[in-house]
Amino acid sequence: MKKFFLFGFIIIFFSTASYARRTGCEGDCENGSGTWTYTDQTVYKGEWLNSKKHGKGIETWPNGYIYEGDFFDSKWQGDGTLTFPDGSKYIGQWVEDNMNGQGTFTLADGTIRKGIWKNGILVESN
Amino acid sequence: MLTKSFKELPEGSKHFFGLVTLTISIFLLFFLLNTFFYEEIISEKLIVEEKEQINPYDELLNSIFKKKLNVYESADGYLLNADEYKILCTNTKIVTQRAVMGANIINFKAQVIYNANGNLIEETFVKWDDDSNQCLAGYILKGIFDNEEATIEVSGQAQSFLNTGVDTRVYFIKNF
Repeated sequence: MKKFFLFGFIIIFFSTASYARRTGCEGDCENGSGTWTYTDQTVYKGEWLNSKKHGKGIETWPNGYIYEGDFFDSKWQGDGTLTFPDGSKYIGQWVEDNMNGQGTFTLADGTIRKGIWKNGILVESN
Repeated sequence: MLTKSFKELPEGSKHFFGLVTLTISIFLLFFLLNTFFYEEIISEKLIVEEKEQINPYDELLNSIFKKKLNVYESADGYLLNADEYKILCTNTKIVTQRAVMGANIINFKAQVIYNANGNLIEETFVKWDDDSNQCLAGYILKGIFDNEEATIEVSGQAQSFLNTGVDTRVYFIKNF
């Protein structure tokens, strides 16, 4: 009987441990470099400061969005590239998770929208 | 040792333990019976009737093993043909949070309301549009924007779906 319980405990322990490895942090996710995997399988790999995404990093969403560039206080801020699931791409400046500043948006069909962006809208072409 | 400890337990605990053991035994018995005799219990007639009622959507899902179903080519998704796209669209009801967050990147007002609301979405919709021959998906948000009550509808073409194995969900709304 004891062996049975021990066997059950070992199985539960290892299955829980293997699940835990698929989420949470690998590396230093406080002040340093680490990879955080969210429960929905969004993955951030990059630099951390005071437990916030800060510095250079890459964030991959499970549905295909990939942001690579600067993070500030866990937000997309600075220079960065966002690739959309269909292959469209924005390369440029970001402020608080939005396309703000100089940037180039290339649609999947090749159409290019280049200029100054304000909160995700192209306000001045150049 | 274990038997001795059990005998020393109060009567109430013994009864409770006995009841739990009995309940687990019954569950196990039915589980085993179900495992070994299920196919015999179900008559062939019922199986034939079930097969006749198969939805094209179920048939499609059973034939697709990959989790992402797209209308564009991608390395990790299944490329839907026009018929499959329409079948999936008309049978999909759920819009994922990530699809909403993705569409919000292009819609500042929606993003502000969504964040202020604690990610609360008023309503979602998925519908087939015969005019454009596209699957349209979207959501409605209600909240405060610039100190005023606002209602906003965000919509676009549903270009990617997630097959959870139980249902399908809109995974990418192209709203640009």
